[in-house]
Amino acid sequence: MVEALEHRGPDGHGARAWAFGPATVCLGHTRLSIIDLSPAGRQPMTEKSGRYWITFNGEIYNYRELHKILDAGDGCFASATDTEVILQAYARWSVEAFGLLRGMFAFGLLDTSARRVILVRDPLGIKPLYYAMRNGSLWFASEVQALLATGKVDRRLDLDGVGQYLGQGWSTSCAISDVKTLPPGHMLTGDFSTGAFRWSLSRYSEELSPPAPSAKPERNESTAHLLHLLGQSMKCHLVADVPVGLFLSGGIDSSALLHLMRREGCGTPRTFTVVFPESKFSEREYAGRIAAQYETDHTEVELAESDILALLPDAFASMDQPTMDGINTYVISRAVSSTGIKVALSGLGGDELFAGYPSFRRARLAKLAGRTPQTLRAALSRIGRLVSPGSPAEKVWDLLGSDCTPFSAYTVSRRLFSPQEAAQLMPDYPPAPKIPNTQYCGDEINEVSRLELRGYMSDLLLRDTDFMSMASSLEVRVPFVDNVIVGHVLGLPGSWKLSRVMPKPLLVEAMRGALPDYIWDRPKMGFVFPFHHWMRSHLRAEVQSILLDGRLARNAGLNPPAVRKVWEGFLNGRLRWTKPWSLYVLLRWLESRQIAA
Amino acid sequence: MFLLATETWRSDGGVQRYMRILCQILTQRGRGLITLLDDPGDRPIEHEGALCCGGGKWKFVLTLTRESWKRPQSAAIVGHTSLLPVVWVLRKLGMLGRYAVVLHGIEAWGRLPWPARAAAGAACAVVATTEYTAREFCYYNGIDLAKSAIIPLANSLTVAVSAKPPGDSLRLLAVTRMSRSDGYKGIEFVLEAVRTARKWGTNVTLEIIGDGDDRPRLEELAGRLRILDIVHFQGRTTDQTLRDTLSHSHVFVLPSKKEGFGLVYLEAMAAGLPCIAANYGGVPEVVEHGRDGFLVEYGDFRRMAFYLRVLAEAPKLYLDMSEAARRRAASFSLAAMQRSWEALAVRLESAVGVNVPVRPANNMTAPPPPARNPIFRGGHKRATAPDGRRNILRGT
Repeated sequence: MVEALEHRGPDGHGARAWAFGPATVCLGHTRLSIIDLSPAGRQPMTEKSGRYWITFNGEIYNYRELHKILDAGDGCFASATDTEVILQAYARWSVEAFGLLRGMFAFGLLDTSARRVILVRDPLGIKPLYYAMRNGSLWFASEVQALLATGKVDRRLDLDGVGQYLGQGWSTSCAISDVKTLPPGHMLTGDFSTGAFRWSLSRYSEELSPPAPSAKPERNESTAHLLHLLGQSMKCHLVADVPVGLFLSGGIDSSALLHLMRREGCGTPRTFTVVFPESKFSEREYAGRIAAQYETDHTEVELAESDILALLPDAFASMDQPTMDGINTYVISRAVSSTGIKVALSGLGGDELFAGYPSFRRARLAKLAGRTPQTLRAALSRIGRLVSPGSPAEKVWDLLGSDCTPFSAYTVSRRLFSPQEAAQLMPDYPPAPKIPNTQYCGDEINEVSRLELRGYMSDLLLRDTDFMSMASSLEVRVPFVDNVIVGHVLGLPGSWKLSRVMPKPLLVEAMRGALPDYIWDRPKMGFVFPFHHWMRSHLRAEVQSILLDGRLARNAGLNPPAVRKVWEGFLNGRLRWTKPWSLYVLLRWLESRQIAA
Repeated sequence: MFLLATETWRSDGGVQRYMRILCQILTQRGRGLITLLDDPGDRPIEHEGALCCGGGKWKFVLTLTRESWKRPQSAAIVGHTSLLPVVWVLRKLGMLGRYAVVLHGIEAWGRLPWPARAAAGAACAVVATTEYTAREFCYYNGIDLAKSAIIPLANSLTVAVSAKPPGDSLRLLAVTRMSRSDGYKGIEFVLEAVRTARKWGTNVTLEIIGDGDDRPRLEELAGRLRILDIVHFQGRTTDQTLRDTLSHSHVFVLPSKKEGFGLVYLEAMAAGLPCIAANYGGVPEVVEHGRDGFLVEYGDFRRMAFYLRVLAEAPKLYLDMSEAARRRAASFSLAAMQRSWEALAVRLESAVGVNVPVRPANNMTAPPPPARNPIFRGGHKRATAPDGRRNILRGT
């Protein structure tokens, strides 16, 4: 398992095993040295008494504060690492300690005296933790491929997972039956004091939900406080004993991070932007301007079709789970890592928090539309779909025909294949996903924000960012994805987050005039490669060969003629590129991992 | 030079205490001072070297007009944004010279009405006690941040300090106005934190100094939380009683979300008390989290209770923080404040000639203004702006 994770930690590795009668516990770790580069940071790590052991992935940003509190002057700390802070905090406060940690983390902690193992994941799901259980044994790891490497996990496809993938572009858990994801903010406790393991899953942090409104917040004060929190978060995220870079797109989020980096006195920031010869998709101009304004050490990674084709095999080999988006992150991470940078900041989370996606406006429209009778909406929806089937307006008709709740706005926005299309692709297509547990507060914008944070961001973006960046031994940090910031922003009125004048008005206002007009007064460009263009040229043969291979489709539980129809639909312009690309990624990934239904 | 300040000797609020210190600094140099509503009488009186005019606002305006007529083109320090419109008019009439405006906190965290905003724009400098206030004011009123100067307050209350780690009981102190209009002080969260800390096994008591129309509600809340046996509402007290209470307390707690600076924290820190405050406003520039005390999100009484428990259970940590707090308070010295204000006063007085008739008694030729407005610092602010380059950090 450790070998399978070597790419995540080229600076060292370790493993240790304990036998407790019939029960055995093994902890392993590969190290990427970022804080305290000395041997004292080796893992698995213990504290002075030797009772507690840990294998830890992530960063604890408030570790210095906790270190000071825990260090009672008796020299209980053997290192200056955040890892040891977790051990000491647990030794002092038990499971209450987990709620005090601020950062991104996933760890396994062994209490040799109480005969207990606890697996913990951070509340926002920044760091992953997968586990598989079989015959009373449990394996856990930061990546699925490490679990597969044990040889103990059945490579059987989870059809529910495939169904979710077709429905929204990702699977909430995993596409492999035996593999589960530890939910964010949860801990999995294994008690083996009686010899056999008994596992229980529980939550240690509160559910992500907008706080109950108390007094109406004041806008000036709230935006000022937001800037203050962003500054504090940035300060925490800059803590490293190695240089820190920034993924700079020239958009609002990354430009805000650049301003904050400067404000927190980080010296000359090192910024990186991916640019394309196809200027329509390239943010070179904007990234270059803001980089020049802030006098950064700026690097442009120029990528042409031939370059991406050459990188594809490596990208797919690194793809821990099938994903449509992750290749972008792989490419830029590889470029950044090649310059010697080990840590990079990303503006991920900004769209979810500050209403940067179309789903937010759709939620508002849905709320308005919901005031009309449902029968009228259903009729209009049917007519619309009949008149223009498969058109870009398809989602609008779907939304109109739904119950017009924020959840519908979110699921329709995130939809990949419609239920009808998915049912054609997959004869055993599972029923619609369950409505997640929600405490809908009446503010549709904040509710969509919560769904985006919990769903798209946590289950897809953060997951992909983790394995695609760690494939190049690069740690990506996400300053917007911070408990305190999320709590504060979710408590502000949703109406503050949308404006006709500018995107993300709350964030722009909080920056207090630091973001120039050319950054926010332009169309939003997502961080997407021009696959639409490339799939018709250099990638065409490759994609076609996979999609038209009936064996691969059947292994994935898909209907080969339906898959062919999707490819043909794309070629004749009826379907968006995301549909054939998602199928291509899925089939290729399943083939490479030898996973079948 | 004029220092325009209101109710300087009548009230004990932070603004008034600031103005008293400033008065002390400036009257040593023979500056004029006009104050408002400090004496119920109609006739102006001298008080500590300053001219006080009694009566209402019109009396103030008339007195100021008369005094500025006698001493045309004098510089002015405007002690509150509410006085800006008058000053601006007098300047337009050529009766006042350059002026600086003092920003305290809440009153500066938003857009001023047009006359005051125009007057602020015409000021030579805006002087704030924290970067937070300066930034908010300049942003909302369209003023170049480079025009701001940060001169933090200084502690003038001397208290005996004794290193006294909590033994059996952690003694907390809160000093605040308990007014319904000040609903942001967070005393209710302190009460919740005290109850939670006690539930967790921490022995804690709380003294609350201050009074106001919100006190009955807070007392009722303390009753509902069943902590009246460990919470004592002292009401208003004298300075001596405050000093005594400070010297017998362990931790100062006031999680207020609208403090421009928080002189109370400085006073507590001077007595060696670590502070638990809210992570809002100008307070983080006074109390450094994890060093002089702890900052919590407004309303997070559980986190407050956690920090109380930590301070109660870790004597070494407590002593370290107490010492750090005392040193931090000492760094906000009167001497540093005096130097900054004197430098600003010199700058204000080095005015260009203004195109108005010069009165014979004051026929002075002033030197030209400096080419670039310097930025003053109170001696303990973090410098973040690079020198000599376009200052991105200070806005466009």
